[in-house]
Amino acid sequence: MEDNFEKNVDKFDSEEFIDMKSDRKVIEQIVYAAQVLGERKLRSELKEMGDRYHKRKQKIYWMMSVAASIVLIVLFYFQFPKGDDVMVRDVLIEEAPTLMDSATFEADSVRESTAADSISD
Amino acid sequence: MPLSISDGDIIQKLKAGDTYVFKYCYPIAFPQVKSMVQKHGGISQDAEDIFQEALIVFYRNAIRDDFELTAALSTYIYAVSYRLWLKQLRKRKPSVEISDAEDRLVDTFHFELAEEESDKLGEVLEVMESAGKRCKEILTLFYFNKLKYGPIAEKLGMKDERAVREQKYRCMKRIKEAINQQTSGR
Repeated sequence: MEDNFEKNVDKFDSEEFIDMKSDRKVIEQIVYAAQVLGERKLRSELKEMGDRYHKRKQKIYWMMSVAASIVLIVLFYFQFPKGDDVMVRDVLIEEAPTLMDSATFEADSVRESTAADSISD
Repeated sequence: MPLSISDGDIIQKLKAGDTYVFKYCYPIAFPQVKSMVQKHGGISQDAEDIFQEALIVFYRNAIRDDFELTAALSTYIYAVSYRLWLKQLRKRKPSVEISDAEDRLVDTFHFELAEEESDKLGEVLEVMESAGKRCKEILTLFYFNKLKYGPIAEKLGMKDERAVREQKYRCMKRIKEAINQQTSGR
């Protein structure tokens, strides 16, 4: 058993093995501490990666919303409202006399019907 | 670094100690995990914490020799995150049910020390800090990242496996002596 061990491991491993037997508790504490340190390092790396990912995503959302806002501004302020204004203005100019006439006609007919009602009473 | 990478490559890189490859896990799995956590009463910050824990669980499993990924990596991370979130919910609301099998899946950290021993952790960490950066790196890569001497030598730019082995031995000896001195000095 001992011979096989000597064949399979080198000087440093064998010395460590002897240490493992005599100071097992201390070695276990060192191994545990190394694992704790490793996990802490991994956590901080992941935290950094996560922060970078979220920041990049936020930046993409921000850029997309800015782009969408610009498109909307172009559409609503330079296209539709101007077109609508012109259309509404034209309609008002063209239709104004007719509208005035129909309003006068309606007022007249209301007046007439009120007068007719009072006569019949 | 490529824009995308296969699940197998991610695992291979993790086994080789390249934890930077985790950055590829965020776009493939985080949105689903976030949506799951938010559907189950959590907030965005909870999702970030759970996702990080899931990656650590994944890492601990991935570096084991017998680890085999039987589903897509995003599915695996989602499943681990789901169980971790259920555990978290159970802590917050004890009425939430979770099976023992689900508990076992995520409890993969095997270092269980007695109370008295874990109290000593602070002292041991202090000694390790004082042993130098190189010692800390070698011991961390060997015992936490489970790297062999060869990859450690490559990663740290050391001459060869033997140089790492010798350095590790010296570090262990130095730390052990310091701890023994502290203990006998009381």
